[in-house]
Amino acid sequence: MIEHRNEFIDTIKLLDKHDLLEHLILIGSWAEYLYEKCEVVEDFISTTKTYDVDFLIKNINKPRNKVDLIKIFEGEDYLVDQSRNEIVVFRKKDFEIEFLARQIGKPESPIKSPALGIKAEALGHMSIIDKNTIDVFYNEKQIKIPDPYAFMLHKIIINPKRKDKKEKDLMAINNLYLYLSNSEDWNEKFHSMFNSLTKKEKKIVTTFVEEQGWEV
Amino acid sequence: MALKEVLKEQIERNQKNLSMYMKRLNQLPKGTVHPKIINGNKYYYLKYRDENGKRVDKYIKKDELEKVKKQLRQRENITRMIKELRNDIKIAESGLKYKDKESNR
Repeated sequence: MIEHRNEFIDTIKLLDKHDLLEHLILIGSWAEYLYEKCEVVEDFISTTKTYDVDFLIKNINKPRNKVDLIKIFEGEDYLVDQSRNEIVVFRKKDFEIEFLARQIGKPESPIKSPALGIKAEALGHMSIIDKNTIDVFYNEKQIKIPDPYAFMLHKIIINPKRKDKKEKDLMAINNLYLYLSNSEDWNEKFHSMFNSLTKKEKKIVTTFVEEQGWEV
Repeated sequence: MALKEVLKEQIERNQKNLSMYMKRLNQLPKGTVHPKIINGNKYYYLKYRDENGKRVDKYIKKDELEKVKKQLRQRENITRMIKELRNDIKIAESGLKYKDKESNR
């Protein structure tokens, strides 16, 4: 991950240049990286090693002035991979950028963003992330990332369906838990966010917390 | 960023996490929970070996049983995470050694 820091910064700069950062939420391992670098979570050190950058599109119809994301990234020598269900992935060597959208309807269908001119992978249970974002400044750019509690709860909720990424996610969840649970307001914040979940989501989280022996 | 620097940073970060995990681990009880039937009543004990290797049977109060079980599960998780981190450090260190050898050639 660390060796792709420059590519990550370039991506942020590029999206900022086209006024797109306010319409995107940085999710995945780079959000964890920013919890560390922007001191969102006290003393936190992320464990992730992956290179992919994932952005959640806040609203598939924004920005109002449409942009051609493919053209923008092609202009920066990125290869556009649309081999998986027409979902757009931008690649440069082993560095990868993907855009995701909130799942509507069938889980397997990609979501088209007319405003960005791409098809994005659909991801479920994104409400908690969408409703709980924070803005951080990294390299003088304002970036939206999920509140760490929302990030952790979302990872827990999708964990049973993560297949090969299950173990890696489990490590990230527990790592974040160990740091967050050190703070005085851990219980209050955890419960306040937990209460905003759906009945089904609450059940998944309760089972997970029991299995892991978390103190909540 | 040069690979050597990346590896060094990776080791440093993992070691910081490792010391944090160890700190948490030491705050948690170790051992396994065993029931004992005494005069027809069920009592629970935490069995473990102390720092001198001596076997200890520590009585667990009824209202603390669930808490202890939870803490043991947490200990198991942290132990797994420590193992993973140590493994990552080992891999990064071998990479670093290889790079050192390469630059000395």
